[in-house]
Amino acid sequence: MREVTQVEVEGSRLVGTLHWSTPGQRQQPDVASLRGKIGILHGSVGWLPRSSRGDMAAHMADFTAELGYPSFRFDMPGLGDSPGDLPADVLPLFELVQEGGHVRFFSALQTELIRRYELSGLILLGHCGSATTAVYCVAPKPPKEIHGLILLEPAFVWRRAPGAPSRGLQMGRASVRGWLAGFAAGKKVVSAYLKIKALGQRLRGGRAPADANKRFLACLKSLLTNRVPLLVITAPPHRKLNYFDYVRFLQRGRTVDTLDYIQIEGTDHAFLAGNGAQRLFAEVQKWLSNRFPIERNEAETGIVPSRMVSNSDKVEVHSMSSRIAVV
Amino acid sequence: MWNKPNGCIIELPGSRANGANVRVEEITEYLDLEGEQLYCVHHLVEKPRAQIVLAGPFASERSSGYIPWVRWARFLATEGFHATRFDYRGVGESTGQFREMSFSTWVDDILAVARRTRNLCPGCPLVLHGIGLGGLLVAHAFRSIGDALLMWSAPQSGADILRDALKRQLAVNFGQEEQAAGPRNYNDFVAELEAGKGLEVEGYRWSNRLWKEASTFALTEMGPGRSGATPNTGKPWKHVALNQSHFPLISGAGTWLALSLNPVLRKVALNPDFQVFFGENARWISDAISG
Repeated sequence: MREVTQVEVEGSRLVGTLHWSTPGQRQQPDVASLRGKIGILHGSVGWLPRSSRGDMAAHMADFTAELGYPSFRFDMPGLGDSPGDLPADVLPLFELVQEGGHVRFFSALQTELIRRYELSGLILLGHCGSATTAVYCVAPKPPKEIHGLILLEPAFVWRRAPGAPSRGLQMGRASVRGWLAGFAAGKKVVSAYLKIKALGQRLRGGRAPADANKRFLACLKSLLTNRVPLLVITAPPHRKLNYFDYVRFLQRGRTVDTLDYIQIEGTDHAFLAGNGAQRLFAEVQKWLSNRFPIERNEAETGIVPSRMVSNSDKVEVHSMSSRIAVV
Repeated sequence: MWNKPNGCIIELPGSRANGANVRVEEITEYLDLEGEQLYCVHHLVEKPRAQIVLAGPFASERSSGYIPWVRWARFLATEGFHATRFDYRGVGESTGQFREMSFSTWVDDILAVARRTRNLCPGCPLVLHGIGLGGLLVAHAFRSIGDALLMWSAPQSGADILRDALKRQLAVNFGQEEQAAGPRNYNDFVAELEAGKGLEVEGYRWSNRLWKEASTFALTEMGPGRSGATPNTGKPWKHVALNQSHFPLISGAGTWLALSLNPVLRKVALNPDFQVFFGENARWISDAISG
């Protein structure tokens, strides 16, 4: 079930949706029914409304609510249904997010939702830019009410970073890659290029590229150091501009067992291609069951989370080691 | 049973000559419709001149044009109209399985929203307005309800919408590093649908029913760039043809954005200034309801 809700934070009115599951009932949830539960706060993607492309975010929130985690999705100021100002073009919005422009709203949302619904805490789920926002919100160490983070496709380059290649060079590279991606042999060339690039990076002593988002890197590292439960799920990088794998970059030497890093093959940034959404949901369910299991009465729900993903579903996942090194 | 609506008052810059801010009450709610929740957003003003139901584009086009669509609803409010937006069942914030929906269910959604809107301001003229698929659907709904009709780039038939979406999916598939198993060209897509198998297109599960119904929804004698009055009732209608200058409201905008490798480098419109375009259309509505 869904309920629309509005929250006023930091002087802005944010419109959102609450997803909950009370089997056999169609009433609105009251505080008593959500009290003490762990909620999941879903961040929006780019400039899209909170349902995301293919309504993937809406379906995921329905899914996590059915698992027993009341789930929330909100539009940031100016986006979706939330009033507010926006720049005329996409790039300034991307840079605003990369530089933490949504952090105060997302942080204030967390506080308000925990208070309003008397939750025991939240798991933050971010996709693309909101993954960056979620990391910024809680680094270096989240408050005790934030139990963990789910980061979907968190890679992000910072175009205006000091030392970043010139705009012309970036556009040139992107144009060549776009042309190459238009045919089969070209795709192989792009893949090989990315592998060579990663190798070169390692040979250079593992320095992050000039246009890497250093703040994001530092915040992510602090979360790993402080053993915050993290689930990171990505799609293959072949079409991404100046792709840099932040998580793999931090994988050197030591391991951290609070990190689960999954790459889902054959899908895209929105997890729509190649049945990506279903495979994504399966991984999220697995992580939640392992990290934050819910004691539920099967008769109460009629659903046992571990049976929601049947054995016949092929989850073609290339899983990296769940232990990641931290420099 | 209605879910309890949520509302707030916002002040928007007035578009009138006096430039005074306009207080707009924005209410979000779910309408209970055949067991599903139909998401509606009402932009309400004091003493509205008319009510306008805004029917959005096909599911996979919704997100790319959402920002200007919302801006348009708020603009209409500053012009003194009640504007109501909604999501079709199975799409966006509304519940329901997309694969169980079709053109006829979405016309029912429009009628339900129109009836709800009429309750908010009994006696107010009612304008049906749609973009893309929404234009086609409001044209059908107009046979039952409404005092004026405004369409933006409605397709000639539902089949045109689906055909364009299939072509876009092909383009996206081609850009994938690994081709997924299953249909690989347009004819394969059609064969799957004709055989009664479901097909995932741009994140939505199409049904054979959707495919079959598509060609039965057609726009007759209301071609783009034309306007007139309905033959029997004399109700005014207008069909505006959008073009590239209306990006991202145009069809296919989402695919262009998704396939574009470097939106961070190109000047990609997020919130373009459509004040002039909005003004023209608001004036037509004003003339239509007063005429």
